[in-house]
Amino acid sequence: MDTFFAKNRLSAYLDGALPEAEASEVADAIARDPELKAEYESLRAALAVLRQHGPVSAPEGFKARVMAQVDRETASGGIIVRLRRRLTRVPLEAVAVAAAAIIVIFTTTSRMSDPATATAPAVASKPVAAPDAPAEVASAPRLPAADAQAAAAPAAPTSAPNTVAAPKSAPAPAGKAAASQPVAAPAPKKRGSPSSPATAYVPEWESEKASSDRAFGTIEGLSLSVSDPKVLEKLYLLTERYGGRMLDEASQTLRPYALTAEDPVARLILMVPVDRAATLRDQLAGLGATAGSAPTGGPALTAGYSGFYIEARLLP
Amino acid sequence: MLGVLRGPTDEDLVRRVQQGDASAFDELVLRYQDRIYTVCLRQLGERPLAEEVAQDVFLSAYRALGNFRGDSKLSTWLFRIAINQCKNKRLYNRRRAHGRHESLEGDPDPDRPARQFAHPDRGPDAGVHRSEAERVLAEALQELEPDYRAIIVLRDIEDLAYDDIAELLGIARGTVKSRLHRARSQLARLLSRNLKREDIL
Repeated sequence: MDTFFAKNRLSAYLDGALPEAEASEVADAIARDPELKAEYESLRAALAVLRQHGPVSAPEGFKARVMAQVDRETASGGIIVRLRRRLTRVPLEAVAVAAAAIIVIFTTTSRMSDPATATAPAVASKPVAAPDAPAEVASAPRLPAADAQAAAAPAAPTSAPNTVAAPKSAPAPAGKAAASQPVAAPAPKKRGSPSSPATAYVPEWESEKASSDRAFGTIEGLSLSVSDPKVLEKLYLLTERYGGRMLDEASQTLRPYALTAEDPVARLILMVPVDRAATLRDQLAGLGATAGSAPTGGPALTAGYSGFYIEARLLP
Repeated sequence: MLGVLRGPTDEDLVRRVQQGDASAFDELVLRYQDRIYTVCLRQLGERPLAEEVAQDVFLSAYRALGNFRGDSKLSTWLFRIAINQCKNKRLYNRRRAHGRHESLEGDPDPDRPARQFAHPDRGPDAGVHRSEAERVLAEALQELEPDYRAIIVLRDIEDLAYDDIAELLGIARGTVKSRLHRARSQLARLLSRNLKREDIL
């Protein structure tokens, strides 16, 4: 092994991270090259200083000060308390969604049965095949509020036996957005597009479910306050790394951009394969993401994908 | 000795916190306070700032623990929060520093310390080091680029494995090795320039 290669392996050699044969070659190179040996000694000394003088103890009373903040947080309804409240609220929300669904279905079926008013509502229109790739989903416009609610509502009744495997795929701090969010809302119907004839009503999620054996994931709302204006770029790369896609809600683009003082808030939709969602969730928490609210109506999800709706805010 | 008494694992404590047991979080803080404070101090270089950020790290962790699913080790997760919070704090301070304009005709407020945030990476922390070697080390670390400093702190002070560092910083294992080598070489040069041999020994 020549000096150049040995020099680049000094650090790994010091860590004992080289294979035995390679370590032996580095040791030989150190023994025969005084310059390399000097560098080796210098690195070794630096490591000794780091290990001896690097660690420090937390200041006296540190834990008490942290716990005082935690107590204040808990007393004012902190995350744990809020999580519990949310869990106890779930049945009420479920009842509300189910009630809305019944009303919409009743209205839909009664309108379809009347030939005079046979202009099919949004949900009864010809099923638009939900896209398979997240990129395609990303290009779909978000549902306008009214359409979103109409489209979302029918999802509720089917969620009982056989829809959306959302709660199964994300068990832990359950009850989050899943219960109140329409998971996998059908692809939106474009405004102004011609209505389809009122034929037998086949919900879109049923047709997609028939063509896909993959489960839908949840959409979870998160909030992220950051000082780094380039955080969107990081989120974009992170999502890409997990085989997903990131979409800016406002611009409906896939390209990331930096947050600025003039434009300090971005609302983002991240989609990743269901089995990578938990890992990405931990990474997002590591970036400082905390529980937030998911959008009303929610973006369309593709089978096999989970989503995060993130409100990223640049700190002043 | 028949056996070794063991405390609850990190996973046990996390589960208890998720069930609403604040005393379990107390135990977690006790377990990690020195390591998190060390990361913050070595990243930021100033004790009051490091304590402030270390407290924020635990508070953020407390808020996010409800969603922690244990895909990565608790320690790795906490270190990741710490590294990110330190980075955010530095950028925040730097932005505040840029926002302040030094008047050529003198400071209109003589009580305000001049250029208070001018060098957020080189905080004055004189007189609080246990030894000359620690003082030189603290200063040398602040001379490094933030990415180099982070990797040295995680590997050589906190003794994290390459794979954990790769996961924590979101970089490849090979990048960890090459970046670590460059960081150590720079630090070694700074230390050998400023530290006498007897201090090292």
